[in-house]
Amino acid sequence: MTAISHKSEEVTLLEILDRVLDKGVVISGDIVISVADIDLIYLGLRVLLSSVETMEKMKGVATAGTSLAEQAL
Amino acid sequence: MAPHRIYVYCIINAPADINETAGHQRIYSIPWRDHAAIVADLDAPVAPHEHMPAWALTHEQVVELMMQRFTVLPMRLLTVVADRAAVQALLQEHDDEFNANFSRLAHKAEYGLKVLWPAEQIKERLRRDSATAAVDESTAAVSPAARYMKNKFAAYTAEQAFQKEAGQHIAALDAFFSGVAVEKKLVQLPTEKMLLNAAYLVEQCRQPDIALAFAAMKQAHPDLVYQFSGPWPPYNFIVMAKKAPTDAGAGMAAVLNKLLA
Repeated sequence: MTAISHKSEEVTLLEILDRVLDKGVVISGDIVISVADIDLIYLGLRVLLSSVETMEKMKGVATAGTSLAEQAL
Repeated sequence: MAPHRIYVYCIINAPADINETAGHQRIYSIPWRDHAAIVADLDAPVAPHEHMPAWALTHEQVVELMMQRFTVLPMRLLTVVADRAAVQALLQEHDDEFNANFSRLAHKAEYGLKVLWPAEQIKERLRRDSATAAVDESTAAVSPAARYMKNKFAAYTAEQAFQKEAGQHIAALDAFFSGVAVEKKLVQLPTEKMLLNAAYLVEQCRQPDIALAFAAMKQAHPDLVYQFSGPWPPYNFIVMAKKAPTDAGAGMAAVLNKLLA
């Protein structure tokens, strides 16, 4: 969290999700259990976007970037 | 009691003995040769849709905690394996790929840049220019079909001009970072209004330079809307042979589009 708070004030949960959802080390194969099913993630995101207020409290940083994401559509 | 499953957060470049708390999560390391996986025990089945904000935040929190001490290869969110043996199998199977990534990514961090532009105004201007040209040329048009075809062509021309103008804007913006970053991922127009979704890989010693470059960019193009963030773990710069094809902005756009569908 410390590092996050050092980022731009507009860092948001969506900015995190833009990275963690389908990037990083993506392993396919028998040893990984497929809980990160894409539809499940989308479903989660619906919940997530409605929980931005909760996220603000958890994260303690401004979420101006959420409006930027909305503007982008 | 054995854990239900093991959640894997990241791989670090040392067989370090980690056993600590991050957020509300007890994390520990599972070493194999020169690396270790940073993991947590899951005592119950995963239901990520119920607690997605917490999952995403904790994942990032743990990876950033490790990033302060090691070179990290962050795992994709919700990477879960059966048991300790599966984690070691993962480390063993991908040892060469992990080594290659550690070599490339040591002492570097990722920065993100999203840029919005006034797409509607630009499209309107290009449509006007195109339509004017079409009307000028259509004075001799004799049939509705010919006029229809000319209008279709005008729309196509406007779209081409839109893409070209986007490319020119992006080249101008990217020039500010190109001397500072060692690698980059640029996605042009993931949505019409988002001109650019970019990730830049920057050496730690150049971090002040990227901030200065961003300030100069904003000053030179004050009409655009920016979101600049970092340092992040290098999510966008992991290279895995078995990775499913994806790209930065398009992935995000697909998620957002589906959400708002």
